[in-house]
Amino acid sequence: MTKIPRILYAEDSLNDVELTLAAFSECNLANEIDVVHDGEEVLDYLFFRGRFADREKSAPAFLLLDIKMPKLDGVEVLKIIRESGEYKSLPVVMLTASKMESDILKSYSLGVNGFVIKPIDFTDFVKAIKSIGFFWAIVNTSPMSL
Amino acid sequence: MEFSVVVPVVAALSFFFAGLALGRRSMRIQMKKSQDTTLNIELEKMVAERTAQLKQAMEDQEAFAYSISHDLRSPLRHIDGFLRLLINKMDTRDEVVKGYFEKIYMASNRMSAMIDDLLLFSRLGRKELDVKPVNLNVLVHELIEQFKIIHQYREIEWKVNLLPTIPCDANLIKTVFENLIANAIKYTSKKPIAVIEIGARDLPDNLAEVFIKDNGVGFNSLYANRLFRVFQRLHAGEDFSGTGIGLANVKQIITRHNGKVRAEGTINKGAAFYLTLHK
Repeated sequence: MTKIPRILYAEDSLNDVELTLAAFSECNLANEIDVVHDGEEVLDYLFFRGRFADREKSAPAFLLLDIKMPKLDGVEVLKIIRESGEYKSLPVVMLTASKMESDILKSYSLGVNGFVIKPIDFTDFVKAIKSIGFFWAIVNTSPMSL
Repeated sequence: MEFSVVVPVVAALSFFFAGLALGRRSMRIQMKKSQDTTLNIELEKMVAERTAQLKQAMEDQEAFAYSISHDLRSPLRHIDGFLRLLINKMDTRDEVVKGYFEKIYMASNRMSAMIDDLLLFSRLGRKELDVKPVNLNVLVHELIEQFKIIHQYREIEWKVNLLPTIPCDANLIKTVFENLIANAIKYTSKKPIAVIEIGARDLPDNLAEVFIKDNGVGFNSLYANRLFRVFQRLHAGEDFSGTGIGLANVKQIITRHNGKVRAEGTINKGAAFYLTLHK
């Protein structure tokens, strides 16, 4: 039996993490979610460095990436990921609070797979998270599983 | 926190440019008289510096308003989110508890609406003007037809006189009339028959004055200037809905067209808004 891939979620705000995980729990996903809190940790996780040096050698199904984060921001992380050999095709979905046009354009030119602006209304927020989880963890076939 | 920063800056800038034109004229006269070009160059340099400073200040204010609007969204989203999660966990059969939830929810919705309004206000200040001749008759009649559909169960008597054609940004001027007509409809809602009158007259110096009058609740003329400030309201939110951005948008747009706007009111008799625009 193949192992169910994990989901990597990068977000610095603990409130956002809690709300997003609450929304994900309504999807009944079989995938486990790993949470990291800044851009550097995303890279540590993906490239098995720092506290993730001994992590199981597997790639996440997709990366849910906040933009405004300490150290490296989401767009910078995306650039490094896309320039790397092993993660150039990793599905990445941006999840961000602000509708900055420059962020949207830059992310897409760097090859992001989706860009989602967090809705203020919690019911809408849950809907957005559920559709991300449903699509990227269940409907979509990730190249990382090949 | 002072949010109403954009209007003064825009107003200051247009005032500044008007002064600049006058300054240039007087400088030319001076040059003929004394041939003193050094002073002239100095003045031009100063003007250029001040213009750059003002432009920078304006851009900073815009960036500030925009960033505030965005950064305020996150905590608001958290309040809304945790409130919903809390409601799911709690026994909400208690009417008092339910009332409190309702109030928190309404307050967070209101703040969300205000943030959206602030963003729009900030965007209006930045938008480039696309000036073309606009026939206000057509524009106002189209708007009234739309309002008639929305308020089909209200008794409203419309008195619309001939309006001029004005060089302006059609979308922005539409926003002005949309706001003023919507206000007239809103503040006459407690009258059995609303009477809304829209008309115009010519003023000297190729100016036109357009007015919108209603027979609604009106206001004390003493506070007329406050009406145009961001989030300033003369009526309680319980009586008439709204955040109080509409007239601030009107003033900002009219000011950007080098026009003027003023209001007159009498309590329980009605309100009148006058726009002075260049023809």
